[in-house]
Amino acid sequence: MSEVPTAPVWPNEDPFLLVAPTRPDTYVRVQPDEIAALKQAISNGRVAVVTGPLGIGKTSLCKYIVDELMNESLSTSDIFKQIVPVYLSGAAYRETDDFLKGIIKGLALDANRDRVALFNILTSWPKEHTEKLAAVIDDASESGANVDELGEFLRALADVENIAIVLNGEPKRMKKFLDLNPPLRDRIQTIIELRQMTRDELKEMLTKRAKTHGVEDYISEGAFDELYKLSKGVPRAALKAASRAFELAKKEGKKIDRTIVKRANRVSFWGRLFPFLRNKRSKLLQI
Amino acid sequence: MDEKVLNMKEAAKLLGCSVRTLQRQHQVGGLRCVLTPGGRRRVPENEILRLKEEMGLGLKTEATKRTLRTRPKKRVISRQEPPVMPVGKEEPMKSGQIPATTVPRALSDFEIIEKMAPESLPIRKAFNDLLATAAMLETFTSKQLLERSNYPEQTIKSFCDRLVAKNLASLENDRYTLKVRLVR
Repeated sequence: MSEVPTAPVWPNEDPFLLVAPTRPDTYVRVQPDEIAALKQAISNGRVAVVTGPLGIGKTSLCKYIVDELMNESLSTSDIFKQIVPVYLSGAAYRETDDFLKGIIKGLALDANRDRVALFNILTSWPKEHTEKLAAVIDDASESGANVDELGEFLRALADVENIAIVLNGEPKRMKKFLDLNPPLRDRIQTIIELRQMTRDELKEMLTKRAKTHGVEDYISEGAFDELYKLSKGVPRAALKAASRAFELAKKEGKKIDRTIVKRANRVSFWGRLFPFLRNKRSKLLQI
Repeated sequence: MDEKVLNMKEAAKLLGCSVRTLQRQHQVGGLRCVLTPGGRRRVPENEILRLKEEMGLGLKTEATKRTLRTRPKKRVISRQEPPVMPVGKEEPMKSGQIPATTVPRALSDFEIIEKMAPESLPIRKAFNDLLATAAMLETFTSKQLLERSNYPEQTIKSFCDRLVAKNLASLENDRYTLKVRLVR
C-alpha cells in the first residue's frame, strides 16, 4: 500500500461539525438491540428513558428515532401501524403548558385554544385517532417547568393508550427528576443507558461524516487510534478533536494522521497540570 | 442567493432617512445587511420592503424618520422562523423608485396545513415540518427541501404540488415562492 503523495483537497466546510447528524445515513447504530427495545416500547405506547453521560449521543439517538418513525409511518398505509413522533427540546420550555402546546403544535393541530381543550385532544387521542403518538422529550430533566407539574402531566399522558413517551437526560438529573415523581417512575418500561463507542464504531462514525464531504481517504488508521484514545469513545469529544485536526490539516495541506491529531489537540504543560485553568487561559489569550 | 441588494445610499433614499441612521440601525440589529468581502454594507431588497411595511408604508414623512430614529430593541434570535417576506418583481429596481409590493396574506401554520388537506396524521406532521423549512427559505426548489429534511421524495413532491394547487406558492423554473406569510 503506497499512497500517492498528492496534497489532499480539503473542503471548506468542516465534515466533523458538532451537530447531531442531519442525515440518517451518517448515524451509527450503537447498541442496536436496545434501540429495537426502545422502538418496541414506543409502538406499545409505553414510557422509555434514555440516559448516558454528556456527549454520548442521546439527542442524536432521539432525532434518529424520530426520523425513522416518521419515514416508516409515511411509507406504510396501515393506519394502525403509523406512529407520529413529536420531538420536544425540554430545556427550551419553561412551563408545563408549553410542553402541551409544543406537542399540539408539533402535530400541526390548532394550538390557539385553552389548556383544557388542548389537554382533551390528548386524553381523547385513542378515541379519535388510530395512529399512535410518541412524544420524544430531549433533556426532559433540564426543563424549567415545575417538576411536580411536569411529572403529573407526563404521568397523565403515560396513562393514555397509544401515547408513548421517551424521556432523555443526563443520568443524575434524570434520577433526581424521577425520584420526585414516583408514579411516573413506576410507569417506565424501558431504560436505555448509552455507553461509550468502541474504536470501530467511532471509526465508522467519523468515516461516515467524512464521506459526506468526500474526504474519507484522508484519514489514516493511526489517526483513528489517536482520536479514540483522546475521546475515550465519547462521540462528541471525538468530533471536536477531529474538527481541530481537520483545521490543522487543512492549513498545512496534509492528510490527517496520528501526528496531526496529536498536534491539533495538544494541551500545554500548565493546562495538563491545572485542567481548571484551561478555559480561562484560552479566554485570556483570545483577548 | 441571487437576491437584489442596494447600497446604503440607495437604501437611505428609498427609506427617506440618512445613511448614518441605517448604519446605526445595522449596529443595533434593526437592519439586516449583507456584508461584501470588503466589509461594506449592502441592504437586501427584502429588508427595505420589511422596513417599509413596518413603518406602515409611509415614505419620507416625519413619522417615518421618527420611527427609524428611535432605537429599536435589540433583536433576539428566536427559535421561530422569520416571517415570509414578499419577493419583489424580477425587473431591476432603480434607486428612488418605489417597488410595487403586494402585501401577502398572513396565515398561521395551522391554517396553511388545513388548506393543504393532508390525508393522514404523519403526512400532516411532515407537511408542517416542510412548511417551516420552506418559510425559512422563502424561495426554494424541491431538491433543497429534500436536502434539508429526511422525508421521502414522494412526500416532498406532494407538498410542493399542493402548495401550488392551493395557490399558496408560485412555481417558476422549478423554483417555488411562497405567496403567504407565516404568522405564529
